[in-house]
Amino acid sequence: MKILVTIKPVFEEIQMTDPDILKKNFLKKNPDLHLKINRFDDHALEEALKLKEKDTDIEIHTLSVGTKDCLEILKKTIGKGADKAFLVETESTDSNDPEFVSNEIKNHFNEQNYNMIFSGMMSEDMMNGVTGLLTASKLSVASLSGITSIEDLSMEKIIVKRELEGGTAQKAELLLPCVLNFQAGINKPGYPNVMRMLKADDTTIIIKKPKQIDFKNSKQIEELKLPSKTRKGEILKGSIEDKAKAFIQILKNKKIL
Amino acid sequence: MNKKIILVCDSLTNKIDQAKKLINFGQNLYSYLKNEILLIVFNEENIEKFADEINFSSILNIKTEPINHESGNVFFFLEKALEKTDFSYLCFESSIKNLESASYLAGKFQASLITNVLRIEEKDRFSRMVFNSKLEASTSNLKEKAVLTISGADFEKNTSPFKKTDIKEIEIKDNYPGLKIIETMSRAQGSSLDNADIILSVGRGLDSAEEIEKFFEVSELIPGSAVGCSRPIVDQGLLEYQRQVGITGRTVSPKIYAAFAISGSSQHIFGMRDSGFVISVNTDPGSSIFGHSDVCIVEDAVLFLETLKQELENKNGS
Repeated sequence: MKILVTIKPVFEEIQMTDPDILKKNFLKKNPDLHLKINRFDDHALEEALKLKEKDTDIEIHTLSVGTKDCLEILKKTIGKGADKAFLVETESTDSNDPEFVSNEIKNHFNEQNYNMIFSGMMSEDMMNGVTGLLTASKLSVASLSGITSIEDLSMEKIIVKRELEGGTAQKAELLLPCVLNFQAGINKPGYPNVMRMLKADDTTIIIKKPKQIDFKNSKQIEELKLPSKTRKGEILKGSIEDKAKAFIQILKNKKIL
Repeated sequence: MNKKIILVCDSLTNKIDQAKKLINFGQNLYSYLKNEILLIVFNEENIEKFADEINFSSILNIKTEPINHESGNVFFFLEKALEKTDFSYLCFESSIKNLESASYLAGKFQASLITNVLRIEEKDRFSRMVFNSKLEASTSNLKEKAVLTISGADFEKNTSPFKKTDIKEIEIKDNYPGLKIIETMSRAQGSSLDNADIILSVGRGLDSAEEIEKFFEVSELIPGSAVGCSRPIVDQGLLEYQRQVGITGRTVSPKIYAAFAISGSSQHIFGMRDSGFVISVNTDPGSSIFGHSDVCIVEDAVLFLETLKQELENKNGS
């Protein structure tokens, strides 16, 4: 069985990075920040590796679409246990349009005859949540999002659990081939093995050219701005004790205390 | 063929009267495009009653087998139903299942796909959150057809000029063979968050059981309080699912929501945006939670909590 795990490169530490720096780096299209594996995709890779632990016949490939900067990330996926990695090399991050990426994944899938594609259910940067689902649509195969666990797997079908909004969960059966889009936090992604990373060469990390030459973006980010406030956002001043006293005063004003 | 704005009523709740946000969005979109509006519903019984209220050009009621929309076939039914209908925009409310349908149809109809739309900025231009909700991206649709999922809190009520709503019904009996939903389960049991006046909510900035324990100590000093959390805390096994606030957890509306070390992803905001008053504590002055808070405290959450505990104990004379 062959599983393809799609890996999106994203800026490191989006959580703690100043919005202005994110904006500057994104618009320059030449990030000063380092790239890392999109957190959701890391969980998807870990699920594939868990399957390989149980069945060593399973072959895992990873694929990124992006600039040469992605090679370091793909090397990490080899370090974690993937058998091969592919980079569809683009000249800039302009081609991050999910439609472009899903078309490239589809083309690669058809060349390699995978049984399944695993991906994270969204990326931390663009938060579209559609690349895996779009790929499935283009391949005319089944797909589900929000996968939290794999219950059973055979060469014909897979049974999974997935999570929807408001505490609803579902158990579902998908015929293979299929695309599964994994929720974050469902496992603990392991660290890459340095020896495996050092051994990675051009037989394990393969660079390809995109198949789409005259692709026109389906959508375009015109402007990035700080989000509109939904509330006043008054910043409390003073010492930490002053702020704690102000917190207590709010509780009194609202008749909690 | 006339291009239409098509609104697809949420297939999981499947209630036309709960689709206010979608209907308002469609009427707002109409003010830019002037396309006819088609509302798609599934197995709806009382369409005539709503047709007069919404004044759309048409409603299509899709009668399906099986009737249960948890079957996972919604995207397939829609593809069949839309074979002969041209659209400019096909709109869904944001949800995981609707995202699946939206993506499937965008792929099949070669449409662009813009998810989690917050606002219509101008014709063919929409705002949505990016970078863990730290920035808002003004995004243009560059194709003739687009599929949208919408997630704004609500959209202003607007009017559409159609005098009479044409109601059509079709029956689809085919099934999508590749996917079968075996079982749907609910984890939404009662929670201490449901009746709390104030929720002290813990975010991913905290990662040890000792730190979490301090929240329960402070909660004991505040009557009517409960401890909640964001998703990563549940994922790490530090608190149980019943305490998770957000799109995949609980939706809460206490008098006060106090967010400690919570960054403010749109998934979390969805679960607490109806709270009466919001106080946030975070070391990062750029964290997006501050834009959704009445009062912001730039401090280390644990240090602040310890100070708060001290002040509460002083006040109580202990």
